[in-house]
Amino acid sequence: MASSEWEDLCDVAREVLTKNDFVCDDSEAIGPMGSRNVYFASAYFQIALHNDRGSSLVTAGPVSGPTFVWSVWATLFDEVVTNAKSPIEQLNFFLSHLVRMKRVVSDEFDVASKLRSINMKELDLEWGIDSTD
Amino acid sequence: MSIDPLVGETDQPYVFTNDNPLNAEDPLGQVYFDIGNIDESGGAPANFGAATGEEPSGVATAPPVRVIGHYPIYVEVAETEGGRFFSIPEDIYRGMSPEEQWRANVKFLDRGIAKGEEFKLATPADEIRPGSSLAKEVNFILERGYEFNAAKTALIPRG
Repeated sequence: MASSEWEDLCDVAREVLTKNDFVCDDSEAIGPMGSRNVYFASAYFQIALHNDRGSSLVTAGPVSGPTFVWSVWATLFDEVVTNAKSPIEQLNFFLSHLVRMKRVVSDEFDVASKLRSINMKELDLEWGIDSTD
Repeated sequence: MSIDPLVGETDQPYVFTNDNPLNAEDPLGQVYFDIGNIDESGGAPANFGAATGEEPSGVATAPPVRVIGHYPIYVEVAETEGGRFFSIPEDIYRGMSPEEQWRANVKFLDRGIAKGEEFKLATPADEIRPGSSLAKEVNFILERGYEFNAAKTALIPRG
């Protein structure tokens, strides 16, 4: 993603998420090759924008700890994961699931562990990570 | 380690490494890669003192490890625990096409693979984001004869 596209993503996220009571934290220093993380925190969970060496991703997770890509959340919601999504589409996915995410983070015990487990399964399908045990 | 062939014009023998020849390398001849706190050759280059007028002090003898992970954790781990990491100045990186950026990244990975070095995962395996640059790096390394270690904290040569 070119820097202007990254900035566009940040602008859109800033505009939409602050309207939904998220507080933006973009104080993190810019790293090698322009890498950067921008966080939006609500009382229930956080949404993060990642610019990693020019490649952008949008993730979400509980208020502290790791965040996870849209496909992990979709699996948690028993939704079918098909095509890849652009960063803006990833943001849209989270925006369209805000209420559901709030409910699941509030009601379900240890959502972080479930998300981590789904993420691991997704990686294991590709790399066979668990076969090294 | 070689000096910049344009030294006669620039009077800066290591400008291609941002004047930091001990911590950087320039495999493409265009940009430098910050490789952490250890020299690529494992020691001070013979011509370092003579070329720069400085003593090659503080050369670490860390084991040959390359650190990969999501930003910023891989930078933090490499700087605190030692290890080479992939880095190119932002202004140069932005001027490269996506293909050139990945080629430069591959060069960093290939050097470690050729030497059978360990790739330390600064990001826990179960927190790697599918579709990320890190996931692409891990995939590349696994396809070249590496596997996760038992603790899933590093990629090591298979067998």
